Amino acid sequence: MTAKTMTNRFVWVFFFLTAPAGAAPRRAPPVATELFGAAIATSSRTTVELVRVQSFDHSGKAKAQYWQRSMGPEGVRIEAAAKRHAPLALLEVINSKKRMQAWPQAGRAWIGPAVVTKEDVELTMYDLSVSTGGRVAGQATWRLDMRSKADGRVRRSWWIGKKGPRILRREDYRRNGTILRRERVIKTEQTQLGKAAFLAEVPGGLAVSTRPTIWTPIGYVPLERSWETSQIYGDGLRQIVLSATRVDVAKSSEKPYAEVRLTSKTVGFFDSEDGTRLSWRKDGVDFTLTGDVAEADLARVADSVAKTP
Amino acid sequence: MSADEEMLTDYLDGRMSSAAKAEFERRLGDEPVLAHRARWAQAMRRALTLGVPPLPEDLKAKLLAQARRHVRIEVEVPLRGSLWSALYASPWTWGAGAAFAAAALAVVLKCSWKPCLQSRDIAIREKSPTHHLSPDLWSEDDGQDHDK
Repeated sequence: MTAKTMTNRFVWVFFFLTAPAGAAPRRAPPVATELFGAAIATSSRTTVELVRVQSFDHSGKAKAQYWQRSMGPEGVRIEAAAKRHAPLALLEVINSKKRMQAWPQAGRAWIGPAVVTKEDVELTMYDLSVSTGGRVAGQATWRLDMRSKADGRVRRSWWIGKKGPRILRREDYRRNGTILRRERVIKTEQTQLGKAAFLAEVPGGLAVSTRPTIWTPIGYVPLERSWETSQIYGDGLRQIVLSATRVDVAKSSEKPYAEVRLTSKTVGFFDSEDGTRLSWRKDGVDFTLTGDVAEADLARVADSVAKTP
Repeated sequence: MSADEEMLTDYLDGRMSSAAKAEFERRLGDEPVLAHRARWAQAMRRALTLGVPPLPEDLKAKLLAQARRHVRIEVEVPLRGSLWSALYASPWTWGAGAAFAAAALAVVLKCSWKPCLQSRDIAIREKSPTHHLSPDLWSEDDGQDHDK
């Protein structure tokens, strides 16, 4: 072996030994509950995002909506349209005091108080785990999976940016594992958005109604009241029905597949033809919420219904 | 909304006269089904509307001003009287009337040769029920993620 060959081998061995030490260290995944807390915290900076929202039926067929979502310390503003450059279909502004929804095509608007609910309801219902989530909107993410404490299946996943703890993508799943909804940030930009964008003011020319004091997911507007014992909220594809009926003895023997303790009440979850049914009892009245929507969202609706009816 | 529903809503809103209220309360005592519904309605109403603040005053004033701008004040005039007064208001009225009659006659003669209004020109839009949202809120989608 010549001196030159020896030198070459030494150089290669030195390279293979030192290269891993020089590479960027792998970051250990954060604690799941801390990541969750950081993701739902209000940002001090205003961000404007273009979001693609997909809603799936039981067969997996999808419909889409595009949101320009502005979020900041003053509140949240959503401008929804059926296509990327289609006219505005729904405008929603939620700030610390009010929630306003305007549906220009129908000439209607609703305004009412902003309702605070148990924001960390997922911590009560699910076991959380973190893994690497790949890239979303050009950013590296952590994936936060939320598994039902009742059956261990994933019900909700968030992809959270590693650099800034913002949710860049979220997916909801039904109990049978099929995908229910996906929201994904396509584009994001830091802009100077004035405080006026977050004022819950009704645009002119719309018939204004008072919004009931319950929480509903973004995009769900109040649709109908029947005999004042039921309320229907819809987003154009899905509905959430809240009804109050006399206590049904037959239903009392049904066993829920999961029970969750909310701020003021314990609610039970049942399977239903219309999706998921959630119910609780108060003073001889059975309150029932049904809808093909995420369990955690139904729980937040239930939590917001007044504590002492 | 049925008559009973309307009455129940009026009763809960406190919009009934004292006589109507007394009569409705008598019915609540006599009719258990109505009484049950009234109780649920009260429970639901309390559950959903507790603490609803009234609409802000500035919003009310703004909407009221907007409505006032669109209100037309119409004075009712008998049809016959208004026709004669319109005809005699200006000599040009008779000329304009004659021109309109001639144009109408020309259209009638033309249409007697070829039908002017085809059925495809008539668009009938069915009014959708109020509880259905417009389909314009969503578009068809391929269901793919498109994020690589």
